[in-house]
Amino acid sequence: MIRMQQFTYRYSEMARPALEGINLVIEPGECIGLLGSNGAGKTTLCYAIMGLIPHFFQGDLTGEVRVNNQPVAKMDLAAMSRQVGMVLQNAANQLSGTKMTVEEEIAFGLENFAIAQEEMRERVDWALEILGIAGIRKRNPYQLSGGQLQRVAIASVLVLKPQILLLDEPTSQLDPKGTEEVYQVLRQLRKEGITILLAEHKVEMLAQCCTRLIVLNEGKIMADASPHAVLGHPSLPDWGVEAPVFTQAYQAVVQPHHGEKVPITLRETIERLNQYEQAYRG
Amino acid sequence: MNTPSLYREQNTFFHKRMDPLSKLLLVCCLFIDAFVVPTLPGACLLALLTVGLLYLARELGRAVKILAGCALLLISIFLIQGLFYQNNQTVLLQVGPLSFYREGISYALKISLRVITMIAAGSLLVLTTSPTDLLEACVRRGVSPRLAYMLAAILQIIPLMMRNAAKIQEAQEARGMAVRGSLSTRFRAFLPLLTPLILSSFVNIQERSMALEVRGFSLGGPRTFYRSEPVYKGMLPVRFVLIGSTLGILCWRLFG
Repeated sequence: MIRMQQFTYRYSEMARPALEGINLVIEPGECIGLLGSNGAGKTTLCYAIMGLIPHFFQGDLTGEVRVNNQPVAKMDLAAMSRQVGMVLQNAANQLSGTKMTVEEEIAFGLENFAIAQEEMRERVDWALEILGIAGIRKRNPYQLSGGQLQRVAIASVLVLKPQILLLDEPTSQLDPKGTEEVYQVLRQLRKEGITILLAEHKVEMLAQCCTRLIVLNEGKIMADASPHAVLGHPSLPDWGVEAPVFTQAYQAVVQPHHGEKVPITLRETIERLNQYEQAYRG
Repeated sequence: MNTPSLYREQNTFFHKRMDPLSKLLLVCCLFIDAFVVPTLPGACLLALLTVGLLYLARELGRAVKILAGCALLLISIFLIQGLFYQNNQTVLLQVGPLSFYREGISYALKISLRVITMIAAGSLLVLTTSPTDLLEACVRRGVSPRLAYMLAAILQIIPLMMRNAAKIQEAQEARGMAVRGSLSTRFRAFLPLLTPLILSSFVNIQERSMALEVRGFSLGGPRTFYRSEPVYKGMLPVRFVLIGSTLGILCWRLFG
């Protein structure tokens, strides 16, 4: 479980806080989407939960972050990585830079934790399997496509078997196919019971994958509710977030007449429109 | 995306059958020998030996490219020593108002041969050793993982910088900047490359160190290894020969 209480943080070189008065509780097994424009505080929130704030970044901090009831500020960062895994925005920089094959790269964290070789092999096999990259285990990580590299980055964190997985814009450099590949993996991880916090701009993908969306704007939480409630919120554009195009179209054309909650996926929109069409014809 | 390492797999003694620590020892010995050997023929012999090792490792071509990159340094050694060496007496060459002296050129030749030996020896290690193998071999022998990582990172500096520079130049070219063509065009393109290259390097270093932290790199205590330790046969006599010969040269220099 993650609990943030009145958490405020300002980077030492910044004038205003990157996060301000954050109160947040994330229960085990939840899959949460973090929305907001650039500079809204999504990455900082991930850093705070991971413990990179205050262990790696200097700045002014008030309030507290607790992971599994332990204060992050008092925990060792390396030990934190056993509970919380974080996938950085740039997958290429997630690589250790010293390994020549994908499987060795994935095992890097396990080597640091002195996991026995037998168990290490089992875990690497598991991570390769769950991410669907067993076929590239002997490839050089620096010669992979963006989607493959992103999956290797996720596997390298997942292999440590963290209870919580933080992903900072994991599909920002990917094409639609690569994005879909990563989200397939995330849906699989949800089934495994891993708590996922996903900072992302691709609202439609978040709506399909997450059970709860949090909107950040200028370091503050503006909304924290179900995808339907958040994406149907009239103030969403004011917070720097755009609902999917079909949701916006539905809001503009259909909702004024029918007043129901907005659809948040393309499939849902089509189904809803088909229902209306049938009702109209009938 | 290219591998940030100059190592390429080949089937030679140096690539496959010589262990990374023996190669590191070889390089250290060659460095010491290069400094200790006092005579010009000795320096020449050492340089030839190192180049010969590169030839045997089938890496002479790539090593020559690295050496060519140091041409400016070598030329400057010849210019400065040829003109200003303190023992200069005999004029060897007159170029306009400039006099190049035999003593200075001879001294420059000796220094240059030392530099060539060291660069060639370093190239031998970098071109025939995978950073993974070197890092693991060091950590298995009790070297701190941080120190070993730094050593491996040194092997990757040049290819990493080249990769980032190529990426930035591609982006600059896409926005209409001339980066190819004559030497002057390339030089003009080089200056705007420096700032983004240095800044992006800082950003990459920060992100890389964060990524290492979140994967438990700074954790103390023992490490385990995914790969079993490779077995290299006959390395002990090689190490004895290397240490013995270097000690011999040192003794000859000190007491001879």
